[in-house]
Amino acid sequence: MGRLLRSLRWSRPPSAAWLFLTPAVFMALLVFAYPILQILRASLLDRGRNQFVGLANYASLTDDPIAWQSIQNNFLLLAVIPVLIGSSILIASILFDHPRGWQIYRTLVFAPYVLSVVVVGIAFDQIYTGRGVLNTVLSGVGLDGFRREWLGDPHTALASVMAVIIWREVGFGVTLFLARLTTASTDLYDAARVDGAGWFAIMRHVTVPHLRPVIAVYAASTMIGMFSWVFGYIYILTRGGPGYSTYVSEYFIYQSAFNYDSLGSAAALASVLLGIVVVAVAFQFSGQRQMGVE
Amino acid sequence: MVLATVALVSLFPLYFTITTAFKSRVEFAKNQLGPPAAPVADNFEKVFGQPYFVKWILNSLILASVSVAVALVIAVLAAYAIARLRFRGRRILFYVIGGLMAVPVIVMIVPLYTMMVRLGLINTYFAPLIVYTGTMVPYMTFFLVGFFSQLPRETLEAGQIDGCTHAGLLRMIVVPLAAPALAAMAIVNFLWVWNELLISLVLLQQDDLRTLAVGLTVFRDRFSVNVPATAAGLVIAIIPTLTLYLIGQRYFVRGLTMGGVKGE
Repeated sequence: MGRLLRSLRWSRPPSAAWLFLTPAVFMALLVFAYPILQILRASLLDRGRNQFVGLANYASLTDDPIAWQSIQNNFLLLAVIPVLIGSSILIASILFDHPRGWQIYRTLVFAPYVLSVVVVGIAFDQIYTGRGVLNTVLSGVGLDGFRREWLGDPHTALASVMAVIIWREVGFGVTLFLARLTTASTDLYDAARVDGAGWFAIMRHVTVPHLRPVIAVYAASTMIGMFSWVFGYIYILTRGGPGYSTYVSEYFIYQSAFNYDSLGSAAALASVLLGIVVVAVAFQFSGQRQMGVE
Repeated sequence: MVLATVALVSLFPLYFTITTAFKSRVEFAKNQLGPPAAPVADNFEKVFGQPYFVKWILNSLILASVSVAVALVIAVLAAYAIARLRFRGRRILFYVIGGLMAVPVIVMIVPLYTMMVRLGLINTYFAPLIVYTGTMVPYMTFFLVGFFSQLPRETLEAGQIDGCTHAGLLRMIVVPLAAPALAAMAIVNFLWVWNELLISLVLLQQDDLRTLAVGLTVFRDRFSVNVPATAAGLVIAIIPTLTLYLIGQRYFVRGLTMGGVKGE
């Protein structure tokens, strides 16, 4: 049968495949390839004179403290990764024991991920303000000293944004890990229990090793996310402020290109971002391949 | 204990937004946390009374449904070719598509804006439709390839023996078999477009053409001091999202985890 199928496949002209692929390739060229080439080109040009200036745009980027601040903030955002992974593992493993009503909890935990960043951002903005609920609650429990404009204070603004990111995205990790756990053999868990392993030992020797490949993929994709998919959070919650304390690369690119007419810096930072993503994707693929081998 | 805390934390912002939407401004000033003592619907009237609010909902609906439908057709064709046909460069193409999924919109958005201005498509539906469709195609294709390559060979072989062309196989056998995967892709991507901010912010800069997501930010600035009215706007935006999620939860979770977890 296999041979029959193969011969049938070969008997079709190879162009059938390309006919099916044409619309997808056309869209990819239009929306990805052409813009990427344009941005790389723009990063090497002086916009006004439309002249090749080599790496001058990149050089002026390194002299720009706001650009540095933006990139630094992207790195600080990476701090959400261990928190997301830790809490996702914890919640997923509790749900995996199927306590009463676990499906309801699963639905609840995932719900924030379905809401748009805009909705979530505006709601949290209202919660975080000076006269907002968070401060009301803090006063209510006698922690008056902690009252503040959470998003208006440069010391807490970025951390407050991170809290929103964690709140919205933890459900995705939980769902991913729960799906992976259901592929674990129950024998392993039974054996561990028979051996008298406690909750912590099971977590450490059974659950986490089984999750490891998914954790790697999740960490890589969250890393890509923290570098290049946080525009919405920043745009809604802080607009990069106060001052430049919550600027991130995406917001820098957006502002440089559309509000400050400095296309060169925008293009240079966009190219750097693209480079980071390419490297991260390469890592992710090699991780996934390892996972496939297992 | 942990679960109860998690549920409470997950729910609180939702609870806060929904209860606030039914409070008068006077009540909200006195009572932020409790349920509304005297529920009012004024806030919703005010929201719908805003110019273009209904138009924004309509814009989002049109953009999301059209782009998802077009992208699905394109992705099904491409995924069938990659999963079921042999040709040179098949593996490389698959990896390129997987890589494109991760390329952030911010990298492309400036040239896309310039392109749309030159084509005269800025501030028309076409600009975001093209960009949404294009960005969804790699994602959908990548996941559908995984699904199509798991389809039982025997069924497809039977079809081929009966003299079906590839187009016939696709329409009569593959698409019906893949219906759950297609539903998953449609739901996940519909919500993605519905919630998307950057593309519509840049490509649609006229008040009447905004999507609901961008409109809400305009609206928030307009009502910055009126928290209950803003909350009412959020509630209206949440309703379709949560409805779709609760109805299609199974598909939804599946669509999102298909890539990350082998054998799912």
